Amino acid sequence: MTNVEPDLATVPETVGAAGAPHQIHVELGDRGNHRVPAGEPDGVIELANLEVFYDKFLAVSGVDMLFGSKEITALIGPSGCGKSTVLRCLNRMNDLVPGAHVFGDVRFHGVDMYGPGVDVIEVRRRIGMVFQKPNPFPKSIYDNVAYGPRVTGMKTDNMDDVVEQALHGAALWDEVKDKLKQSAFGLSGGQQQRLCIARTIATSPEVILMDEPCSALDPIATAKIEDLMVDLAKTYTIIIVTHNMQQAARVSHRTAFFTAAADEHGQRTGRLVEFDNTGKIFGNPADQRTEAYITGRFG
Amino acid sequence: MRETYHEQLDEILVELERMTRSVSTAVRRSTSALLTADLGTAEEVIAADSTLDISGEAVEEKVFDLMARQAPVASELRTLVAALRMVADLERMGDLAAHISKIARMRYPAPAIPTELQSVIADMGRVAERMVNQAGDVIQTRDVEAAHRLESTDDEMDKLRSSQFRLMMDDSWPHGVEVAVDIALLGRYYERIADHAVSMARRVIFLVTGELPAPQ
Repeated sequence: MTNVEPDLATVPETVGAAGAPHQIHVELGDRGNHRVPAGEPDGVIELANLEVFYDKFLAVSGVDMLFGSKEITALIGPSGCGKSTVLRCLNRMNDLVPGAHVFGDVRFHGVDMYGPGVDVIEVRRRIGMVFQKPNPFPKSIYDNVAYGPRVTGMKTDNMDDVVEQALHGAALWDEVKDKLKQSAFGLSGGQQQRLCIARTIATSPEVILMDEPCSALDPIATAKIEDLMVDLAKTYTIIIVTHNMQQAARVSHRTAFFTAAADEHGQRTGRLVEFDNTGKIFGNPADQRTEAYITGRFG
Repeated sequence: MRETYHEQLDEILVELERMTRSVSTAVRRSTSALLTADLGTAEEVIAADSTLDISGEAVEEKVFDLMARQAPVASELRTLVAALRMVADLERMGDLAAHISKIARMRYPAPAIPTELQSVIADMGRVAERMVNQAGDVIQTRDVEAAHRLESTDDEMDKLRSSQFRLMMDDSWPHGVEVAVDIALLGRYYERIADHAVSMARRVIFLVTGELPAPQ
């Protein structure tokens, strides 16, 4: 399947100082019946037959996906369809959930992310996450951004530059440059969320996961984050879970629709229904269930 | 994001204007092919029509994608709905220009138009070409006044059509049935081209003001 050492701690650095990822040649091999949209992307993360249990409850089953480099992929679907569960598998955030077990393949540039010897901190540095509610630390704006580089022991010549670049990258610099030492809690919700994005990109990740990053924000702050996502996708791979279908339609290149189907015991398990170019999903979806969901007739 | 989207909306109008200029060229060249029995030009106009159809399909696809993805509202929605209607007008005008060239081709090497009817056909061609160009200007400037003026210049075409009919209905008509059919069809083609130009101007009025003027 792969000719790269299955150890993320030993994976060569893919993000240079300038933030430009180098290309790593990875042989992904025959993908069999995996769901890969037309116009196959240059893959960064690959899921094969992913299954997630919470104790004995099968939350998500049979997910095969390939996430394209420097693309925005949106995961949509009704509550309980497993989209956030899938997102949390992509940087091992499920490790923090008691009783969660992940089966199947989760590969980052072909490397098994759940393999032995993988450094989870390194995984989360390379694949950052932004959450639904802005969650700045009770620290200054500066220290929030500098936090990641400090705890991961990132070698930096000048932390001020790292902080400034990250704040520029998150389109926040102009609004906070004169109050870097003030508490992050003094910022508006939208600014706090952009601060969280700055905090994520300060560690030079390659992938940014976003779990409903705009659902706590008003339409103007939402539009700013959406503009920012489009900008960030020039440098980073972005995977977003959103309840806002129009947001998925507006910003993403590809969209995956998940839904939950109940078994004979009434147990609901999330499944990937359709994964395709966003224009196709919202213009002419292949599956009846996708059509029913996006037209508001179900879910 | 919103910026990219608004650029894409503008690009659609720029493309429609470009297509309008191609139609105007097609009308001019068709008329010339007809009046000078120029087979080469007629063939070129007929061939160019499929290029116009391909451009039209591309615009339609872009409009569809934006409607599916951007939830257009207000002026954005009007732009996209107007664009779909204008694309249909343009495709039809292109077909009509090709029909004119097909009559030139069918009669070749003989000239399709008897000498005494040349001037009325030339006038019709000129009026149609000018109206198509004015429709292009209106798309470019989104000038509602100019769009209303284009609606009224349609009268000129109607007058030419009437004088053409008078010639044909004359008891002393010497050219036979075949020429009469050609002339009747050509009159119809030019008149329809003018009607589509007016229709496009009306779509621009709708795009700008949100109101579709009542048909005259």
